[in-house]
Amino acid sequence: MPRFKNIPSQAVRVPPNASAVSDVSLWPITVWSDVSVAGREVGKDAERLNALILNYQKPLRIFLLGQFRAFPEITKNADELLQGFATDKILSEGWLKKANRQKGRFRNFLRTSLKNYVLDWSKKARLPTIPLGELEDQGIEPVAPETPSNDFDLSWTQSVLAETLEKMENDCKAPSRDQPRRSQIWELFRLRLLDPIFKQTKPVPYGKLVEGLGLKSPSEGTNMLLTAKRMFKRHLNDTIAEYEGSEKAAESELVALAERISQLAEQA
Amino acid sequence: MKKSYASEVVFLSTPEQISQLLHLDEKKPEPWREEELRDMVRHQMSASLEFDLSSVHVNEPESKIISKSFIFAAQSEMRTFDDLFRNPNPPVELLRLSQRFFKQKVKESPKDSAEHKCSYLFYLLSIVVARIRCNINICRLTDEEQLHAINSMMKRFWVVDDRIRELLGDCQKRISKL
Repeated sequence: MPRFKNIPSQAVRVPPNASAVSDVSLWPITVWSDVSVAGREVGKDAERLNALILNYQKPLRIFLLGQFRAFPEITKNADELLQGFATDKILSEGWLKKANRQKGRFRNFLRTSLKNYVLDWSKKARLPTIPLGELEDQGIEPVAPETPSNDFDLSWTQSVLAETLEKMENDCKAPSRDQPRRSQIWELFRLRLLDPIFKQTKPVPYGKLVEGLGLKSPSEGTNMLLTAKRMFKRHLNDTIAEYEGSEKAAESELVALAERISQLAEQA
Repeated sequence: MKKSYASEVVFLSTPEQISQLLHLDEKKPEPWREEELRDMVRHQMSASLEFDLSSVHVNEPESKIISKSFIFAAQSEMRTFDDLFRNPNPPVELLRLSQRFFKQKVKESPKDSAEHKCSYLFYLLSIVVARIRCNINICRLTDEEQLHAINSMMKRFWVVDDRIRELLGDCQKRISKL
Protein backbone atom coordinates (compact mmCIF):
# COMPACT_ATOMS: atom_id res chain seq x y z
CA MET A 1 0.00 0.00 0.00
CA PRO A 2 1.52 3.41 -0.96
CA ARG A 3 2.76 5.65 1.85
CA PHE A 4 1.34 9.13 2.07
CA LYS A 5 3.16 12.35 1.79
CA ASN A 6 2.39 14.93 4.43
CA ILE A 7 -0.67 16.88 3.42
CA PRO A 8 -1.57 20.39 4.50
CA SER A 9 -3.50 20.64 7.76
CA GLN A 10 -6.36 22.28 5.92
CA ALA A 11 -8.16 19.77 3.76
CA VAL A 12 -8.22 20.70 0.12
CA ARG A 13 -11.66 21.64 -1.00
CA VAL A 14 -12.86 19.55 -3.88
CA PRO A 15 -15.03 21.51 -6.31
CA PRO A 16 -18.66 20.54 -5.73
CA ASN A 17 -18.98 19.15 -9.22
CA ALA A 18 -21.12 16.05 -8.93
CA SER A 19 -20.31 14.93 -12.44
CA ALA A 20 -16.63 14.68 -11.59
CA VAL A 21 -17.50 12.24 -8.83
CA SER A 22 -19.88 10.14 -10.88
CA ASP A 23 -17.96 10.23 -14.14
CA VAL A 24 -15.99 7.02 -13.86
CA SER A 25 -14.36 7.61 -17.22
CA LEU A 26 -12.04 10.07 -15.44
CA TRP A 27 -10.65 7.17 -13.44
CA PRO A 28 -8.70 4.23 -14.77
CA ILE A 29 -10.45 0.90 -14.56
CA THR A 30 -8.72 -1.45 -12.16
CA VAL A 31 -7.05 -4.52 -13.57
CA TRP A 32 -8.53 -7.40 -11.66
CA SER A 33 -6.29 -10.21 -12.85
CA ASP A 34 -4.38 -10.39 -9.57
CA VAL A 35 -7.73 -10.26 -7.77
CA SER A 36 -8.73 -13.33 -9.76
CA VAL A 37 -5.56 -15.12 -8.67
CA ALA A 38 -6.28 -14.33 -5.05
CA GLY A 39 -9.86 -15.39 -5.55
CA ARG A 40 -8.89 -18.81 -6.82
CA GLU A 41 -7.05 -19.45 -3.57
CA VAL A 42 -10.21 -18.84 -1.56
CA GLY A 43 -12.02 -21.92 -2.68
CA LYS A 44 -15.38 -22.78 -4.11
CA ASP A 45 -16.84 -19.29 -3.79
CA ALA A 46 -14.03 -17.71 -5.79
CA GLU A 47 -15.88 -17.56 -9.08
CA ARG A 48 -18.92 -16.01 -7.49
CA LEU A 49 -16.81 -13.52 -5.56
CA ASN A 50 -14.85 -12.61 -8.63
CA ALA A 51 -18.03 -12.02 -10.61
CA LEU A 52 -19.34 -9.92 -7.77
CA ILE A 53 -16.21 -7.76 -7.73
CA LEU A 54 -16.19 -7.34 -11.50
CA ASN A 55 -19.86 -6.53 -11.76
CA TYR A 56 -20.06 -4.10 -8.89
CA GLN A 57 -16.74 -2.30 -9.05
CA LYS A 58 -18.46 0.66 -10.65
CA PRO A 59 -20.90 1.43 -7.83
CA LEU A 60 -18.20 0.76 -5.25
CA ARG A 61 -15.90 3.25 -6.97
CA ILE A 62 -18.67 5.79 -7.20
CA PHE A 63 -19.41 5.35 -3.53
CA LEU A 64 -15.76 5.71 -2.55
CA LEU A 65 -15.23 8.81 -4.64
CA GLY A 66 -18.44 10.36 -3.36
CA GLN A 67 -18.01 9.48 0.31
CA PHE A 68 -14.44 10.73 0.46
CA ARG A 69 -14.59 13.49 -2.10
CA ALA A 70 -13.13 16.00 0.38
CA PHE A 71 -9.99 13.87 0.77
CA PRO A 72 -7.92 13.81 -2.41
CA GLU A 73 -5.31 11.52 -0.83
CA ILE A 74 -8.04 8.92 -0.70
CA THR A 75 -9.70 9.59 -4.04
CA LYS A 76 -6.42 9.58 -5.97
CA ASN A 77 -5.73 6.11 -4.55
CA ALA A 78 -9.25 4.84 -5.34
CA ASP A 79 -8.10 2.01 -7.58
CA GLU A 80 -5.53 0.69 -5.15
CA LEU A 81 -8.04 0.96 -2.31
CA LEU A 82 -10.67 -0.96 -4.23
CA GLN A 83 -8.18 -3.60 -5.20
CA GLY A 84 -7.00 -3.84 -1.62
CA PHE A 85 -10.57 -4.06 -0.40
CA ALA A 86 -11.21 -6.90 -2.81
CA THR A 87 -8.13 -8.91 -1.82
CA ASP A 88 -8.05 -8.06 1.91
CA LYS A 89 -11.77 -8.25 2.55
CA ILE A 90 -14.06 -9.71 -0.11
CA LEU A 91 -11.71 -12.54 -0.98
CA SER A 92 -10.61 -13.21 2.56
CA GLU A 93 -11.91 -16.37 4.13
CA GLY A 94 -15.04 -15.89 6.14
CA TRP A 95 -15.76 -12.35 5.02
CA LEU A 96 -18.93 -13.32 3.19
CA LYS A 97 -20.22 -15.06 6.30
CA LYS A 98 -20.17 -11.77 8.17
CA ALA A 99 -22.89 -10.45 5.89
CA ASN A 100 -25.85 -10.85 8.21
CA ARG A 101 -29.05 -10.62 6.27
CA GLN A 102 -31.01 -9.97 9.42
CA LYS A 103 -29.10 -6.72 9.79
CA GLY A 104 -29.61 -5.38 6.31
CA ARG A 105 -28.94 -5.56 2.60
CA PHE A 106 -25.78 -7.09 1.21
CA ARG A 107 -24.99 -4.01 -0.87
CA ASN A 108 -25.17 -1.87 2.28
CA PHE A 109 -22.88 -4.33 4.04
CA LEU A 110 -20.47 -4.02 1.12
CA ARG A 111 -20.62 -0.25 1.24
CA THR A 112 -20.12 -0.04 5.01
CA SER A 113 -17.30 -2.54 4.82
CA LEU A 114 -15.56 -0.48 2.15
CA LYS A 115 -16.03 2.71 4.14
CA ASN A 116 -14.54 1.10 7.26
CA TYR A 117 -11.69 -0.33 5.20
CA VAL A 118 -10.85 3.10 3.81
CA LEU A 119 -11.08 4.72 7.25
CA ASP A 120 -8.74 2.07 8.70
CA TRP A 121 -6.37 2.62 5.84
CA SER A 122 -6.39 6.38 6.26
CA LYS A 123 -5.60 5.98 9.99
CA LYS A 124 -2.67 3.71 9.21
CA ALA A 125 -1.51 6.14 6.58
CA ARG A 126 -1.84 8.84 9.23
CA LEU A 127 -4.10 11.07 7.18
CA PRO A 128 -5.33 13.97 9.26
CA THR A 129 -8.93 13.50 10.39
CA ILE A 130 -10.79 16.72 10.43
CA PRO A 131 -13.90 16.91 12.61
CA LEU A 132 -17.06 18.13 10.93
CA GLY A 133 -17.16 21.27 13.07
CA GLU A 134 -13.74 22.37 11.87
CA LEU A 135 -14.73 21.71 8.26
CA GLU A 136 -17.70 24.03 8.68
CA ASP A 137 -15.55 26.72 10.36
CA GLN A 138 -13.24 26.62 7.41
CA GLY A 139 -16.19 27.03 5.05
CA ILE A 140 -15.84 23.52 3.73
CA GLU A 141 -19.15 21.79 3.32
CA PRO A 142 -19.12 18.15 4.38
CA VAL A 143 -20.44 15.62 1.92
CA ALA A 144 -24.22 15.51 2.07
CA PRO A 145 -25.04 12.03 3.45
CA GLU A 146 -27.69 11.39 0.82
CA THR A 147 -25.50 12.06 -2.20
CA PRO A 148 -23.09 9.12 -1.94
CA SER A 149 -26.00 6.83 -1.07
CA ASN A 150 -28.08 8.01 -4.05
CA ASP A 151 -25.16 7.63 -6.45
CA PHE A 152 -24.25 4.25 -5.03
CA ASP A 153 -27.80 2.87 -5.14
CA LEU A 154 -28.34 4.09 -8.69
CA SER A 155 -25.01 2.74 -9.87
CA TRP A 156 -25.57 -0.55 -8.07
CA THR A 157 -28.95 -1.01 -9.74
CA GLN A 158 -27.50 -0.05 -13.11
CA SER A 159 -24.86 -2.73 -12.63
CA VAL A 160 -27.51 -5.31 -11.74
CA LEU A 161 -29.53 -4.41 -14.83
CA ALA A 162 -26.50 -4.37 -17.11
CA GLU A 163 -25.53 -7.84 -15.91
CA THR A 164 -29.12 -9.06 -16.33
CA LEU A 165 -29.48 -7.75 -19.87
CA GLU A 166 -26.10 -9.11 -20.92
CA LYS A 167 -27.05 -12.55 -19.63
CA MET A 168 -30.41 -12.40 -21.38
CA GLU A 169 -28.91 -11.26 -24.66
CA ASN A 170 -26.26 -13.99 -24.53
CA ASP A 171 -28.91 -16.55 -23.61
CA CYS A 172 -31.05 -15.57 -26.61
CA LYS A 173 -28.14 -15.52 -29.02
CA ALA A 174 -26.39 -18.67 -27.80
CA PRO A 175 -25.80 -20.86 -30.87
CA SER A 176 -26.23 -24.03 -28.84
CA ARG A 177 -29.88 -23.28 -28.17
CA ASP A 178 -32.42 -25.47 -29.98
CA GLN A 179 -35.06 -22.87 -30.45
CA PRO A 180 -34.42 -21.16 -33.79
CA ARG A 181 -36.52 -18.15 -32.89
CA ARG A 182 -34.66 -17.38 -29.69
CA SER A 183 -32.57 -14.54 -31.09
CA GLN A 184 -35.78 -12.91 -32.31
CA ILE A 185 -37.03 -12.91 -28.74
CA TRP A 186 -34.19 -10.56 -27.80
CA GLU A 187 -34.84 -8.37 -30.87
CA LEU A 188 -38.56 -8.10 -30.07
CA PHE A 189 -37.78 -7.26 -26.44
CA ARG A 190 -35.26 -4.64 -27.52
CA LEU A 191 -37.41 -3.03 -30.20
CA ARG A 192 -40.65 -3.05 -28.29
CA LEU A 193 -39.51 -2.42 -24.69
CA LEU A 194 -35.85 -1.55 -24.16
CA ASP A 195 -35.29 1.03 -26.91
CA PRO A 196 -38.45 2.99 -26.04
CA ILE A 197 -37.33 3.09 -22.39
CA PHE A 198 -33.61 3.76 -22.79
CA LYS A 199 -33.34 5.44 -26.18
CA GLN A 200 -36.72 7.23 -26.11
CA THR A 201 -37.61 5.74 -29.47
CA LYS A 202 -41.19 5.00 -30.47
CA PRO A 203 -41.99 1.30 -30.23
CA VAL A 204 -41.51 -0.33 -33.61
CA PRO A 205 -45.01 -0.66 -35.11
CA TYR A 206 -46.67 -4.06 -35.18
CA GLY A 207 -46.62 -4.27 -38.99
CA LYS A 208 -42.87 -3.66 -39.14
CA LEU A 209 -42.26 -6.24 -36.41
CA VAL A 210 -44.16 -8.84 -38.42
CA GLU A 211 -42.08 -8.07 -41.48
CA GLY A 212 -38.73 -7.71 -39.75
CA LEU A 213 -39.00 -10.73 -37.49
CA GLY A 214 -41.06 -12.96 -39.78
CA LEU A 215 -43.81 -13.46 -37.21
CA LYS A 216 -46.20 -16.15 -38.38
CA SER A 217 -49.23 -14.95 -36.43
CA PRO A 218 -50.21 -12.49 -33.68
CA SER A 219 -50.08 -15.31 -31.16
CA GLU A 220 -46.46 -15.95 -32.03
CA GLY A 221 -45.62 -12.29 -31.40
CA THR A 222 -47.55 -12.25 -28.14
CA ASN A 223 -45.94 -15.46 -26.92
CA MET A 224 -42.46 -14.25 -27.83
CA LEU A 225 -42.92 -10.99 -25.95
CA LEU A 226 -44.27 -12.83 -22.94
CA THR A 227 -41.33 -15.23 -23.09
CA ALA A 228 -38.98 -12.25 -23.27
CA LYS A 229 -40.46 -10.67 -20.17
CA ARG A 230 -40.25 -13.94 -18.27
CA MET A 231 -36.65 -14.45 -19.34
CA PHE A 232 -35.80 -10.96 -18.18
CA LYS A 233 -37.39 -11.59 -14.78
CA ARG A 234 -35.61 -14.90 -14.42
CA HIS A 235 -32.22 -13.45 -15.25
CA LEU A 236 -32.86 -10.50 -12.96
CA ASN A 237 -33.67 -12.82 -10.06
CA ASP A 238 -30.63 -14.96 -10.83
CA THR A 239 -28.33 -11.93 -10.95
CA ILE A 240 -29.53 -10.68 -7.60
CA ALA A 241 -29.45 -14.18 -6.09
CA GLU A 242 -25.75 -14.35 -7.00
CA TYR A 243 -24.93 -11.73 -4.40
CA GLU A 244 -27.85 -12.23 -2.04
CA GLY A 245 -27.25 -15.95 -1.80
CA SER A 246 -30.79 -17.26 -2.09
CA GLU A 247 -33.94 -16.83 -4.17
CA LYS A 248 -35.95 -15.65 -1.22
CA ALA A 249 -33.39 -12.99 -0.34
CA ALA A 250 -33.27 -12.02 -4.01
CA GLU A 251 -37.04 -11.45 -4.12
CA SER A 252 -36.82 -9.15 -1.12
CA GLU A 253 -33.82 -7.31 -2.55
CA LEU A 254 -35.62 -6.77 -5.87
CA VAL A 255 -38.54 -5.16 -4.06
CA ALA A 256 -36.12 -2.96 -2.11
CA LEU A 257 -34.21 -1.92 -5.23
CA ALA A 258 -37.42 -1.08 -7.08
CA GLU A 259 -38.65 1.03 -4.16
CA ARG A 260 -35.32 2.81 -3.82
CA ILE A 261 -35.17 3.60 -7.52
CA SER A 262 -38.76 4.87 -7.43
CA GLN A 263 -37.73 7.22 -4.61
CA LEU A 264 -34.76 8.46 -6.62
CA ALA A 265 -37.02 8.96 -9.64
CA GLU A 266 -39.38 11.09 -7.55
CA GLN A 267 -36.51 13.19 -6.21
CA ALA A 268 -35.18 13.91 -9.71
CA MET B 1 -14.89 -4.99 -29.57
CA LYS B 2 -18.60 -4.43 -30.09
CA LYS B 3 -20.28 -2.99 -27.03
CA SER B 4 -23.17 -4.95 -25.61
CA TYR B 5 -26.54 -3.29 -25.49
CA ALA B 6 -26.34 -3.17 -21.73
CA SER B 7 -22.99 -1.41 -21.55
CA GLU B 8 -24.12 1.03 -24.22
CA VAL B 9 -27.30 2.26 -22.59
CA VAL B 10 -27.78 1.09 -19.02
CA PHE B 11 -25.00 3.08 -17.38
CA LEU B 12 -26.42 6.28 -18.88
CA SER B 13 -29.93 5.56 -17.67
CA THR B 14 -31.97 7.64 -15.26
CA PRO B 15 -33.87 6.37 -12.21
CA GLU B 16 -37.14 6.85 -14.15
CA GLN B 17 -35.96 4.61 -16.95
CA ILE B 18 -34.67 1.94 -14.60
CA SER B 19 -37.90 2.07 -12.65
CA GLN B 20 -39.90 1.27 -15.79
CA LEU B 21 -37.83 -1.82 -16.41
CA LEU B 22 -37.89 -3.03 -12.82
CA HIS B 23 -41.68 -2.72 -12.79
CA LEU B 24 -42.09 -4.73 -15.98
CA ASP B 25 -45.17 -6.88 -15.55
CA GLU B 26 -45.69 -9.87 -17.81
CA LYS B 27 -49.42 -9.71 -17.10
CA LYS B 28 -49.76 -6.12 -18.24
CA PRO B 29 -50.97 -5.79 -21.86
CA GLU B 30 -48.87 -4.10 -24.46
CA PRO B 31 -50.11 -0.59 -25.30
CA TRP B 32 -50.65 -1.31 -28.98
CA ARG B 33 -51.84 1.72 -30.91
CA GLU B 34 -55.10 1.86 -32.87
CA GLU B 35 -53.54 1.38 -36.28
CA GLU B 36 -51.61 -1.55 -34.87
CA LEU B 37 -54.83 -3.37 -34.01
CA ARG B 38 -55.86 -3.16 -37.67
CA ASP B 39 -52.44 -4.56 -38.63
CA MET B 40 -52.92 -7.35 -36.12
CA VAL B 41 -56.29 -8.28 -37.62
CA ARG B 42 -54.81 -8.23 -41.09
CA HIS B 43 -51.93 -10.40 -39.89
CA GLN B 44 -54.28 -12.90 -38.27
CA MET B 45 -56.30 -13.21 -41.47
CA SER B 46 -53.15 -14.12 -43.39
CA ALA B 47 -51.80 -16.40 -40.64
CA SER B 48 -51.34 -20.09 -41.34
CA LEU B 49 -54.22 -22.29 -40.11
CA GLU B 50 -51.84 -25.10 -39.25
CA PHE B 51 -49.43 -22.89 -37.32
CA ASP B 52 -52.09 -21.60 -34.94
CA LEU B 53 -54.64 -24.41 -34.82
CA SER B 54 -52.11 -27.21 -34.33
CA SER B 55 -51.46 -25.78 -30.87
CA VAL B 56 -55.00 -26.62 -29.69
CA HIS B 57 -55.06 -29.64 -27.42
CA VAL B 58 -57.33 -32.35 -28.82
CA ASN B 59 -58.11 -35.91 -27.73
CA GLU B 60 -57.34 -38.99 -29.82
CA PRO B 61 -60.68 -39.38 -31.65
CA GLU B 62 -60.79 -35.66 -32.41
CA SER B 63 -57.24 -35.65 -33.69
CA LYS B 64 -58.07 -38.14 -36.50
CA ILE B 65 -61.02 -36.06 -37.68
CA ILE B 66 -59.03 -32.86 -37.52
CA SER B 67 -56.09 -34.37 -39.41
CA LYS B 68 -58.46 -35.29 -42.21
CA SER B 69 -59.89 -31.76 -42.16
CA PHE B 70 -56.39 -30.29 -42.48
CA ILE B 71 -55.67 -32.55 -45.45
CA PHE B 72 -58.94 -31.53 -47.11
CA ALA B 73 -58.18 -27.87 -46.41
CA ALA B 74 -54.70 -28.12 -47.92
CA GLN B 75 -56.08 -29.86 -51.00
CA SER B 76 -58.69 -27.13 -51.37
CA GLU B 77 -55.97 -24.49 -50.94
CA MET B 78 -57.27 -23.35 -47.61
CA ARG B 79 -54.04 -22.42 -45.88
CA THR B 80 -54.87 -19.23 -44.01
CA PHE B 81 -57.80 -18.00 -41.92
CA ASP B 82 -58.76 -15.77 -44.81
CA ASP B 83 -58.91 -18.83 -47.08
CA LEU B 84 -60.98 -20.72 -44.50
CA PHE B 85 -63.50 -17.93 -43.94
CA ARG B 86 -63.97 -17.17 -47.63
CA ASN B 87 -64.29 -20.73 -48.80
CA PRO B 88 -67.89 -21.64 -49.72
CA ASN B 89 -67.45 -25.11 -48.11
CA PRO B 90 -65.19 -24.75 -45.10
CA PRO B 91 -64.69 -27.88 -42.97
CA VAL B 92 -66.86 -27.33 -39.91
CA GLU B 93 -64.32 -29.19 -37.74
CA LEU B 94 -61.71 -26.55 -38.57
CA LEU B 95 -64.19 -23.81 -37.75
CA ARG B 96 -64.84 -25.47 -34.39
CA LEU B 97 -61.11 -25.77 -33.82
CA SER B 98 -60.67 -22.12 -34.77
CA GLN B 99 -63.43 -21.17 -32.32
CA ARG B 100 -61.67 -23.12 -29.54
CA PHE B 101 -58.30 -21.62 -30.35
CA PHE B 102 -59.53 -18.04 -30.20
CA LYS B 103 -61.71 -18.66 -27.19
CA GLN B 104 -58.60 -19.84 -25.36
CA LYS B 105 -56.70 -16.78 -26.53
CA VAL B 106 -59.47 -14.53 -25.23
CA LYS B 107 -59.21 -16.19 -21.81
CA GLU B 108 -55.42 -15.92 -21.73
CA SER B 109 -55.16 -12.30 -22.82
CA PRO B 110 -55.49 -9.38 -20.43
CA LYS B 111 -58.90 -7.80 -20.81
CA ASP B 112 -59.05 -4.87 -23.24
CA SER B 113 -55.63 -5.74 -24.64
CA ALA B 114 -55.20 -5.77 -28.41
CA GLU B 115 -54.71 -9.54 -28.30
CA HIS B 116 -57.98 -9.90 -26.40
CA LYS B 117 -59.90 -7.80 -28.92
CA CYS B 118 -58.38 -9.44 -31.99
CA SER B 119 -58.96 -12.94 -30.60
CA TYR B 120 -62.57 -12.16 -29.75
CA LEU B 121 -63.20 -10.96 -33.30
CA PHE B 122 -61.83 -14.19 -34.76
CA TYR B 123 -63.74 -16.29 -32.22
CA LEU B 124 -66.88 -14.57 -33.45
CA LEU B 125 -65.91 -14.94 -37.10
CA SER B 126 -65.52 -18.71 -36.63
CA ILE B 127 -69.10 -18.87 -35.35
CA VAL B 128 -70.39 -16.51 -38.06
CA VAL B 129 -68.82 -18.48 -40.92
CA ALA B 130 -70.15 -21.78 -39.56
CA ARG B 131 -73.63 -20.27 -39.56
CA ILE B 132 -73.58 -18.73 -43.02
CA ARG B 133 -71.53 -21.36 -44.89
CA CYS B 134 -72.45 -24.57 -43.07
CA ASN B 135 -75.76 -23.53 -41.57
CA ILE B 136 -74.57 -24.82 -38.22
CA ASN B 137 -74.54 -23.03 -34.90
CA ILE B 138 -71.27 -24.11 -33.25
CA CYS B 139 -71.66 -22.18 -30.04
CA ARG B 140 -74.02 -21.91 -27.08
CA LEU B 141 -74.66 -18.20 -27.49
CA THR B 142 -78.30 -17.40 -28.25
CA ASP B 143 -79.26 -15.67 -31.48
CA GLU B 144 -79.78 -12.47 -29.54
CA GLU B 145 -76.34 -12.71 -27.96
CA GLN B 146 -74.70 -13.43 -31.30
CA LEU B 147 -76.50 -10.50 -32.92
CA HIS B 148 -75.45 -8.24 -30.08
CA ALA B 149 -71.82 -9.34 -30.46
CA ILE B 150 -71.89 -8.79 -34.23
CA ASN B 151 -73.47 -5.34 -33.89
CA SER B 152 -70.83 -4.43 -31.35
CA MET B 153 -67.97 -5.56 -33.61
CA MET B 154 -69.35 -3.68 -36.61
CA LYS B 155 -69.01 -0.46 -34.64
CA ARG B 156 -65.32 -0.96 -33.86
CA PHE B 157 -63.07 1.49 -35.73
CA TRP B 158 -60.46 -1.23 -36.22
CA VAL B 159 -62.87 -3.63 -37.95
CA VAL B 160 -62.31 -2.09 -41.36
CA ASP B 161 -61.48 -5.14 -43.47
CA ASP B 162 -64.18 -5.43 -46.14
CA ARG B 163 -64.10 -9.23 -46.08
CA ILE B 164 -64.71 -9.28 -42.34
CA ARG B 165 -67.46 -6.67 -42.44
CA GLU B 166 -69.17 -8.58 -45.24
CA LEU B 167 -69.16 -11.82 -43.22
CA LEU B 168 -70.49 -10.09 -40.12
CA GLY B 169 -73.12 -8.24 -42.18
CA ASP B 170 -74.34 -11.45 -43.84
CA CYS B 171 -74.74 -13.18 -40.50
CA GLN B 172 -76.44 -10.11 -39.04
CA LYS B 173 -79.07 -10.26 -41.81
CA ARG B 174 -79.50 -14.02 -41.47
CA ILE B 175 -80.12 -13.84 -37.71
CA SER B 176 -82.37 -10.79 -38.00
CA LYS B 177 -84.64 -12.65 -40.45
CA LEU B 178 -85.21 -15.50 -37.99
